[in-house]
Amino acid sequence: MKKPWKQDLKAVPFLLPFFIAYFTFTILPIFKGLEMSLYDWNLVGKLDFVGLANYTEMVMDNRFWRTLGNTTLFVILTTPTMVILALVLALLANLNTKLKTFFRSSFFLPSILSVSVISFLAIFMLQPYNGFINNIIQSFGIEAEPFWMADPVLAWVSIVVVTLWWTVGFNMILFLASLQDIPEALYEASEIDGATRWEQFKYITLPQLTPISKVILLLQVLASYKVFAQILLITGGGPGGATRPLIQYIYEAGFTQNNLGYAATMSYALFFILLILSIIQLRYQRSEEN
Amino acid sequence: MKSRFILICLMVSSLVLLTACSHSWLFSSLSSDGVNKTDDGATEIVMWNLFGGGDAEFMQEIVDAFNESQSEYYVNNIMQEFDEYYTKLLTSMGAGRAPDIAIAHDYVLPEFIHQDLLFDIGELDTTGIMHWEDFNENILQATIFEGQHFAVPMDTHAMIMYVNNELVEEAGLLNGDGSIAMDMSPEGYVDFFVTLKEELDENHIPFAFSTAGSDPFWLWWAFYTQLGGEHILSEESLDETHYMLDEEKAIEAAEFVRGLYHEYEVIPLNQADFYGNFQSGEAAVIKTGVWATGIWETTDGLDFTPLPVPTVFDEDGVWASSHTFILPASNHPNEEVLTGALEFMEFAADHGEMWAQAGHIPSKDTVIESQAFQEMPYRSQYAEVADYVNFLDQTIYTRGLQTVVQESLDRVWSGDITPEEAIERIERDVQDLIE
Amino acid sequence: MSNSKLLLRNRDPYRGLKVAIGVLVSILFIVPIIWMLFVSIKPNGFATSNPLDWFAPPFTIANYIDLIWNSMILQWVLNSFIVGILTTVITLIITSLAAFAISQMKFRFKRFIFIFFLLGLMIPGEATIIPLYEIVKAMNMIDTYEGLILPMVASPIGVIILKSFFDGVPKEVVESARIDGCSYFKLYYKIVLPLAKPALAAIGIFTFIGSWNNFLWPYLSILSETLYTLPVGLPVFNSAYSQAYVLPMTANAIASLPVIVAFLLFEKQIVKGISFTGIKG
Repeated sequence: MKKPWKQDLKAVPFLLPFFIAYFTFTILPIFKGLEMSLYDWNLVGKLDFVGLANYTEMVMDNRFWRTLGNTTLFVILTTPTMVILALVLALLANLNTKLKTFFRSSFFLPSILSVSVISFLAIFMLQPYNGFINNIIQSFGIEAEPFWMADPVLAWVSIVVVTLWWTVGFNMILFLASLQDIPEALYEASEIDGATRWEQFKYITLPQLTPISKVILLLQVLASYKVFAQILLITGGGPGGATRPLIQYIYEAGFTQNNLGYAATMSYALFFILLILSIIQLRYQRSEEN
Repeated sequence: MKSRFILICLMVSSLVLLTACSHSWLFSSLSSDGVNKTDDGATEIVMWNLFGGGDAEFMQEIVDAFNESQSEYYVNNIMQEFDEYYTKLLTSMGAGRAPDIAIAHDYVLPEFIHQDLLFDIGELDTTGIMHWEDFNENILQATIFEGQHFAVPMDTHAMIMYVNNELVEEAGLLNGDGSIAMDMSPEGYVDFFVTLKEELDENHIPFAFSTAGSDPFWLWWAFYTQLGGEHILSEESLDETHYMLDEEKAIEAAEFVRGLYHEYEVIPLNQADFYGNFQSGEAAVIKTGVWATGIWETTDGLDFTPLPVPTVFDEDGVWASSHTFILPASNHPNEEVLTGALEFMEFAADHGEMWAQAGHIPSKDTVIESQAFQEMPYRSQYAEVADYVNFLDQTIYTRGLQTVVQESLDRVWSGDITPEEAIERIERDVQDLIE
Repeated sequence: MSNSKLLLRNRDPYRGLKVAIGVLVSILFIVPIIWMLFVSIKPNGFATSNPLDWFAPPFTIANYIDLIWNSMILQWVLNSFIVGILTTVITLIITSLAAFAISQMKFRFKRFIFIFFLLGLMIPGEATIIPLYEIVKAMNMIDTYEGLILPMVASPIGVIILKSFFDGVPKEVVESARIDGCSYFKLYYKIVLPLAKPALAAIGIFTFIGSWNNFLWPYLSILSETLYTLPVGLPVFNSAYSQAYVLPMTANAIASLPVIVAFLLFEKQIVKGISFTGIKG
């Protein structure tokens, strides 16, 4: 029997590269963030220790609550629509037709485009007066000039629709994989019992998809809380701050207003929201696997 | 399989090589703390500017002229996007990668000075280089803090009004002497645009203007100051300030601007490109910064007149700002680079007539009085506004303040909230900001 | 039985309608992308209020030439490739090494170390990006390729997926190699790694797409135009005072064509990758 430390030493070169990168860029920022949140800290560096002042400021800050509210609204708007749309698209892509690959590719294609690309596509398509979408609406003889970016409700509609279009592909694939995993025998047995197609969908397909639906739902909530880039690029948080998400406010506090200490404090709030959500998600996934 | 592996290895290694190469090239172009020499042995001075379009070209001409005028220094002029300009500048200062010279608006100077980010030009030996006495006193004052020079002003740029002569004449609003037929009162101002709307066919826009952002904010500021409003924040000292918006006047000014969109409908909402609307001859009037002069005069077939923003209330008042040169502080200042930077700043201010081609009002009285400037068309028609322009308050919060004020005003312009609600929000947000 | 199954399964009265809906929705999904490609080959300054005009001649490739010669877009494409490839290669190397140790080697605190790596799954990068900026700044890597790449390579999900793959390598293979005196590194490189190719491919593709499309981190950490990646560079074409469609759409097309081609080539692997990893790009 070799000495245990000799055995341990052999593992070190395998573990060390990942460990260093992981520790420096994933773990360390958590502690650094805690330190920063306790200081008056700007882009040039550390200034004065301020204790919990940043935290009390955050609790009192209207804009923090408004932007957190905006992000939450985005989560509420996108999550159910995303799950339903992904399911519908997966059912279409699972139809027994020669076009199924075409369906799947079309639904998925937007997902691989960069956020800048989809944002500028949206901006140019949704422009008033001579934008592509408004011209299509008008070519049907409808005398309307919707201001997609300038009206708070329409701005939300635009952002949600663009986000669905852009990201639904991943969830569609997850549903599709689950659909294809449903044993064919279940359908055969039910047909012998004389079940209609609707009954098959209701009593076989949907229950079989419940676990993956929950995973998608949780992943979607988690991803939606991180929303930032498409809103920044499409509406800039406007009109009048109506769509500004929390991460944009964190960015602006840190880099535009030059207050990294306060930005780190708000990041902590976001960190805890996301941490709780991902613990729920991992718990759930584990209980599913057992 | 093996050949594919070799191919990938080759690709990766060539990419790594490429990275390494472009990297060393990158280091030479970035202003690190050392001094870079060009191939000709000139000292490189890195400058960042925030200009776009015509402004950018005229600034490049000035830089080229400087580089040709002497061989000791070479100014490397780097254009940055305006939207993220100050963020990048602050970031670069924090990360020790700041340029040697940067362009900055007058209203950000307090913020930078308060954080010790600028060279105190007053403490450098500027004898024989800078001629402070040539500058317009008002503009120069905006760059002096606690009795010291912190920046070299290059211009004043105000919001002005441009009219399309043909369209205004068609609507019967041009007097025999070429002036416009507008009664200088709130009613007269509105009447002017309503007449344009009634007289011109429906393909024409009475007033090309944006429905969000800086331009309507500037117009609101003009009317606010015309009503006698002076400040949003007080200017006790760099970091001591309190909220002092005159609410009544602020609401009246916002109500007046709102009416142009919603009551009289002389500004079509959400124009995607209001510059384009005026440039193409579709719009009768546009209000924006003086820098548009250079764009309009190079547009074929556009017959226009620049005018000061009409004074419709009690006092003359209009929004303006000033572009200045600053020297970002560095841990390892280099005598040679600093001297070269000073030489360039004086050169640029001295060649204000080149900068005036863009439309800006030069910062040196000596330039304004020069024949070269006096002979330029259009500029003299609005140079007078420099005497009564209202800069934004000089506080460390002014940059952030504009964001929050515009955010609430934008919602008034879009018809979402009332001016009273907006002013309430502004007070709350600005208090949050300065606490 | 099988006959009746065929008969019954095909007896869907609404099948035609469903396929028609599928076609319609597919077209809705790709029209914006096709519109972008058509706009990119229209003459510069083209404008119309008839939506169909965009898809009709005249066409030109002048915009592509203009952008390639007169803008930095090729530099940004190159930067995106450099950053994407290096991020992917480094990620694959370090995650597979770590996963190998955890799966195949014996050492103390193994369980503890694995759980420590698993914690990373719960740490959202978006919420730690402000302190990450300070750390990278302290390492003097703001505005460098290293600063763009290194913070993105430690992927706990990669370690987990690869570990479960390595766990599936037959014990006998490993043991007989060890008895033959094969070193751990040789075992990793010669035996285990080749067996994990599908997992490596999936992780590689996702890491690359993720890096290609990453916006927030390059947006914060890059100052020089020469170092922009595509997502950060593209907004430059959309200046505030312009509504010219054509050049920005050409830039978008240049940024998208490589990934569209890659997608069409690797669609199978991508789809498979998503369904067995469940990770987002």
